[in-house]
Amino acid sequence: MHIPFFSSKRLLRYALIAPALIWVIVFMIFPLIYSLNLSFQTWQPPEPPIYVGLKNYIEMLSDERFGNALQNTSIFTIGTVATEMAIGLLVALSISRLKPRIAEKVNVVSVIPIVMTPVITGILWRMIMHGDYGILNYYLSMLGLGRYSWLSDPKLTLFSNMIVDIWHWTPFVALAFTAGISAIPREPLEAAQLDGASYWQTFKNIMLPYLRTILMLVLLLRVVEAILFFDINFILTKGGPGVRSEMVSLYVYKNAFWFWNLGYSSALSYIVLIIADIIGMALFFIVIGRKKK
Amino acid sequence: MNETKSYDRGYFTSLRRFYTPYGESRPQVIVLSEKTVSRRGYVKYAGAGIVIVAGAAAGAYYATRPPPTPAETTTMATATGPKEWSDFYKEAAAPYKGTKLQVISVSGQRLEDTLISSGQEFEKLTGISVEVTPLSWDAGHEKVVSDYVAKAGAYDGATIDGWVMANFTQSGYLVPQDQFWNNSALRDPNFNFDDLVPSIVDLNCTWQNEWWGLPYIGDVSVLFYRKDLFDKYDMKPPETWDEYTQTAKFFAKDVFEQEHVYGSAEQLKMGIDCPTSWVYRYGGPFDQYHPVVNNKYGKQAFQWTKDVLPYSAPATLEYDSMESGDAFLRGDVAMNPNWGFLAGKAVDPTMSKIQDKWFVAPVPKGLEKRTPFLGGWVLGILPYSKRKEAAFLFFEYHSTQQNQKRVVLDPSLGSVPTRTSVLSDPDVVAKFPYYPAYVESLLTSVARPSVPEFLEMWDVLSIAFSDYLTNAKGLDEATDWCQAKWEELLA
Repeated sequence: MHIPFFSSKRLLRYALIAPALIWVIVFMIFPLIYSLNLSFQTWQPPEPPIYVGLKNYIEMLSDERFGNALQNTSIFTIGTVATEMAIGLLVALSISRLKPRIAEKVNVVSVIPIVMTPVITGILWRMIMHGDYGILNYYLSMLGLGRYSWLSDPKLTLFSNMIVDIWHWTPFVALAFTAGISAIPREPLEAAQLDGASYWQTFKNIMLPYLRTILMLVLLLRVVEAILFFDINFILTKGGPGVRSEMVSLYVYKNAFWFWNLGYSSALSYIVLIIADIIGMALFFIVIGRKKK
Repeated sequence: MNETKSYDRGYFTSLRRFYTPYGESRPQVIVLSEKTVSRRGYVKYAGAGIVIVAGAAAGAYYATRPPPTPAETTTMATATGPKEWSDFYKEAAAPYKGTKLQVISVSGQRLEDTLISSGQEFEKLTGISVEVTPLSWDAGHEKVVSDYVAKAGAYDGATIDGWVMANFTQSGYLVPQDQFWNNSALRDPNFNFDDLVPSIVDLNCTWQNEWWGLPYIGDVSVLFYRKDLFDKYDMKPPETWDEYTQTAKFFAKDVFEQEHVYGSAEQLKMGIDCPTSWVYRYGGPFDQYHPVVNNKYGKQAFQWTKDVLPYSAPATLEYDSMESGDAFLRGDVAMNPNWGFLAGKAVDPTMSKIQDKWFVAPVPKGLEKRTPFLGGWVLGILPYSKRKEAAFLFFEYHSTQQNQKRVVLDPSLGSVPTRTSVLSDPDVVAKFPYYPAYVESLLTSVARPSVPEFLEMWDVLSIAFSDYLTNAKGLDEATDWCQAKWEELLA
């Protein structure tokens, strides 16, 4: 049915989506455009910003500290995401074999780390990993494994950040996979069982293809979140000792709010955005593949 | 359908009658034209408008008219008795009565409690309420910058670390305060400038001979030590950094079984606190405008810090200034070089296990002299505030001798005075017998580099220091790298 342009029905439609549209424009599109514009400038308040073209991006290529932050972030992302996916899937498979009433209770308890804010998580783990009175060292020393400087040993600080992130987000991965597993139809599984397929064969040939979409979604979310890892890093080690555990987000933050290099930090954040985008697209095509026409 | 046109009360209408299929008639009035106003109507409406506007103007005048002149108030005061020191603030703040100020305060070590307490007293006196938002060092300074960039005017004032004053004044994040000092309605005639500690004023409150902030807390690095243990083993506070290392070794190795205390707690966590340990070990001439890391003083300061690490608390590399102070207050360590405001917590039985067992000495001497690090916070006014005068009056009130003495003597607050009269007041010295050591440190202190690039330089120094202490870099490599980065920043 053709609706005239200025009719009340059409206007009503626009009015209903206007709040969401305004929100997207003001809080997503405008900041993206503004920071892109800022990335081509040098801005040292109170002087007005000065356009410098691609200077910030060229400077980034020779910035050792940015390279170090990228390296730390890559190691962190690969380590945490792989571990979270593996442990999350194992946990989900285990929960799927429990009785529904017990599985419900397990799901409720396992949600606790997800609902804690990153700042509280960072503070909590800072106390757990404290070199003097942290309980982690207490139990390790009871088991005869010695005491470690989790937050100040250059060899361990990145690993400490990974442990906290894995603790924080594995339940989310497990929950997502649990939902995916519960949506798999019973008939193929029962048929495979009747045909004498092993658990591994059932998992690989039946369950995994069904879980592909969930897997892609979870992988994408976790990779992007890991690249943007900031709160816990800031609370736990602040990138130290030195720059051993400094991530890209922390480096961008320092440039913006400690050193007041607003143009350079915008350029850094745009590069991080592009990297996260490329990785996301690559994951999408690898896992889902192109749509067959 | 019947239709009757008529003119009724200014409306041209048509009264139509419709007949339903059942033969009933239904009237329907349709407006054919907009209402027009008659001459009488014009007169009526104009009269009503004049009355409303006159009433509004009168109301606005009475609501905003200035209060009685100071002459009238003085007459009232002299009629009742001698003028109190606080009367000035009562009078000067009268035009701003009912105002609500929003002030950011650094949090931790009960520093925000001092400003909150002053705000409560100020409100009782003047009717201007003060809402203090306690924030961490990072968050507080970010809010100031964000308020400036967004031109929000959400905050009227903030406590600013003296370390970033050069940067903040150059960047326009604060308002110069000479305009208020030059206003006789706002300047307290009894505000004694000579009484303020000179180094605090020179290094924190003023920039290029202009006032930018009122002193909030004047602080300096001092050495906290366990007097009970030192007396037990007949020891004196170390005079040099070598003696400091030996003393730390004594407690961590020789008598650890008996006393269970480590030698020291240092503030070496990556960040703003880490370089403090370097400065108070520097022990030589410190150029504020072009500091040098890789000279003999800078390198020795690196070395001394590393020398004491084996005898310090195991987690000392994770401590910032507050955590190292907490380790001392728990009774875990025998010595802790820290900021003077730790003393406020040390006397509090809810925060300290060593209430009567500690004392303070100046930091040990370096190669040539002592170089305690001057810190301190100032009260700055933000440029987009709409209540600058009221904020200035509050900050001025907070900095008076009488108020400073009140907060220092209040056991529930953590504060360090900025006035020599308060530091040497008999009541204050009776409560804080270590103040003579504190004053000596203030007078010989060195300040952070007075350059806008200070924060970035301090971050580079933290990295170099941290790399050296964790054996990632050698001494020459770390100091030379740091100096090269500093030269790039200062170029």
